Amino acid sequence: MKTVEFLLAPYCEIYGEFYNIEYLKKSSDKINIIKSTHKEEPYFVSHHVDMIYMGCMTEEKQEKAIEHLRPYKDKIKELIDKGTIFLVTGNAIEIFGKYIIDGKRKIPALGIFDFYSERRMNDRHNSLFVGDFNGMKIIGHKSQYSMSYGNIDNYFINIDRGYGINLDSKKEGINVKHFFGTYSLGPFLVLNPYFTKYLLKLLGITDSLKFEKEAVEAYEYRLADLLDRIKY
Amino acid sequence: MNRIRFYLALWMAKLAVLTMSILKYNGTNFPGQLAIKICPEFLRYIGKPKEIIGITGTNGKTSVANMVVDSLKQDEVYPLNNSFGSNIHTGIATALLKECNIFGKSKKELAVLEIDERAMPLIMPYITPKIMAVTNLFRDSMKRNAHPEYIAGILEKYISDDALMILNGDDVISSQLKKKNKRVYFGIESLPTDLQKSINIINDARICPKCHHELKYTNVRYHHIGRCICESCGFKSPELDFMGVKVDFDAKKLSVSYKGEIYELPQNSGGIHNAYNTLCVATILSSMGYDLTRISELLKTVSVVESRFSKEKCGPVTVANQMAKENNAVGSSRAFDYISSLPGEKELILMMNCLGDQEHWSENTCWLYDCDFEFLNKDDIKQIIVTGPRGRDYHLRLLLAGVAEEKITWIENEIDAPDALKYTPGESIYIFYGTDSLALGNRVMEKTKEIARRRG
Repeated sequence: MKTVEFLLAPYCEIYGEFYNIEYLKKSSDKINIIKSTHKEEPYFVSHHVDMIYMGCMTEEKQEKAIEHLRPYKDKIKELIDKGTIFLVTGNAIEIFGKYIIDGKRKIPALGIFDFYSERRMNDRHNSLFVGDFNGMKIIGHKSQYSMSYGNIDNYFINIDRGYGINLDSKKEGINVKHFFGTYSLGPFLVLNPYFTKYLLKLLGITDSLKFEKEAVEAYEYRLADLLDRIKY
Repeated sequence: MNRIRFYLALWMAKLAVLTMSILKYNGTNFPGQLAIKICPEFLRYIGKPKEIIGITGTNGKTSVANMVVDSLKQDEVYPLNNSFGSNIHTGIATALLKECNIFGKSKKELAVLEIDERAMPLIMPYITPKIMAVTNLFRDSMKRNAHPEYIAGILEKYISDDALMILNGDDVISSQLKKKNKRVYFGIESLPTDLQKSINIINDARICPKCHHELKYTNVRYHHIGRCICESCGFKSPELDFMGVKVDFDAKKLSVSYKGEIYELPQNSGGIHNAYNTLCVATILSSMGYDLTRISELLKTVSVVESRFSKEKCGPVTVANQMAKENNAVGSSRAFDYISSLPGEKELILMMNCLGDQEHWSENTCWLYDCDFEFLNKDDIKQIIVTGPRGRDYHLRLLLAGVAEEKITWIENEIDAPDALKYTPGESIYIFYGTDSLALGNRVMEKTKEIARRRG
């Protein structure tokens, strides 16, 4: 069995993120899901985990999440270095940067990666993107108040159409070893069946995805639609 | 200078109203758009009725506002309202300018305004409702509304400290708004159908607003709507002033307890969400001074508008439309839950495609995985036609919800969907579409009716 921790689950499912975990579970009976909450020590601290998932959250919960995880920063670094799989979607990625600026406030984050984020609560950014990772086309949905800046050498997705971590960037997210962080929110794994298969393979699982044929059909249709419509 | 601009805006907008009326092109907020374009502070200067009742919230605000207006009309009170326009600043400007004289003075004493919660920063600095009703707060379009915490922050900031708040006591999120304001709570104490745990994907209020421990729900209606307590700090759902004690949809009756007396209200529309709408309407009318006996009479002929739900017997089948707002997982979940609970065999057409997004790029499909398509996994639903730009996505989502492959039919173009229906005698056909696909939805419905009549 492979253990996947849905970290801070009650905070991190505001835009359909729940289905990332659900899709993994439906695709393989070799996956055991552990949901941990903000009122307990993360499961990874004292147990072996094969993968950690964190999804999008409200800005208030994001700050609480940072404080909750701060005592375990070294353990998180250790797991990343060891090659544990992390999938971090939406604004959860900002927790792993140096800090978040919100007006006059500077909120220290975990400082695991060398970037910072800036929130503008009156300026919501909505877009979609298509990009490349490891020979795969990745589709993403963005809906956020913040953008990130800094020296990210190990970006996750090379943007073909759409925006990267900020409006001037064509580089999206972070990929260090098996840490995959992206601003794309919601059911990222359902939307990207080829990446999900890749992730399962990293977990050592070679099962087909649940409704793989239909998932690929929906993906191909959406991909063609996006390539046709996103002009920037 | 501002006054000159205002009068210019007012007269130009009034001319636009007149022209559009001659051309029989009503129900648009163009006059308000024009007025605000000429005078950005138009809402500041335009005359307003002395008494304004505002209605906002994620779901049900249109139904509640229309029901309040219709009830008042039964009493020969004709308030200024925006039921034929939009609920954003331009729609409200249109409603106000239509009902004022050429000097900008309002001809009405009372307004009932549906106010979009996201548009409050543009409206509330100039409009001060004496009574402010909030139907509920849920996850809505992520692009526009972000999340309920964000919207609650807007409401907290922009609603007047003097407004009488009419709040859903069964909604942990909106019931906590404007804590210092005078307030009246409506809700339902308990129902035989109550659950102890939400079965919906979305539950936006899992955590205690005071101590952040997990909330324990004792009576769940849908999503986070219900009664709850926090076993850690003692927080609990507020005491209800207008308490629904029994809902009988077959008899179309809703029993309400108010100040120790039981009253019976008409419940003309099915679905528990509509019972909440009725309670909200009754609470508003009561706060305006109507007694419950009179409210019961006024509500007798009032029901949800036809663009939201209507049905017609056509040949061997019944054809119905059901509003299921695109990008709104809770609204669509409610619609799925309601329709799937109705008796009899059914065929469905799902076409809640966000056509506005499709014009520019493509729809953000995340909401499909927040929405309870699982309600459509029922034996008496015989076929589901998925169509439009997101048809493939609906297909996958339905499969993941457990719907059998052989029940799902993908048709690329919406207008071709009625050709694939079976029109089995005695069944009902439900067409789900949102505000974006309203015109196309009506065309699909008309075609469905036409084929059904031919089969008859």
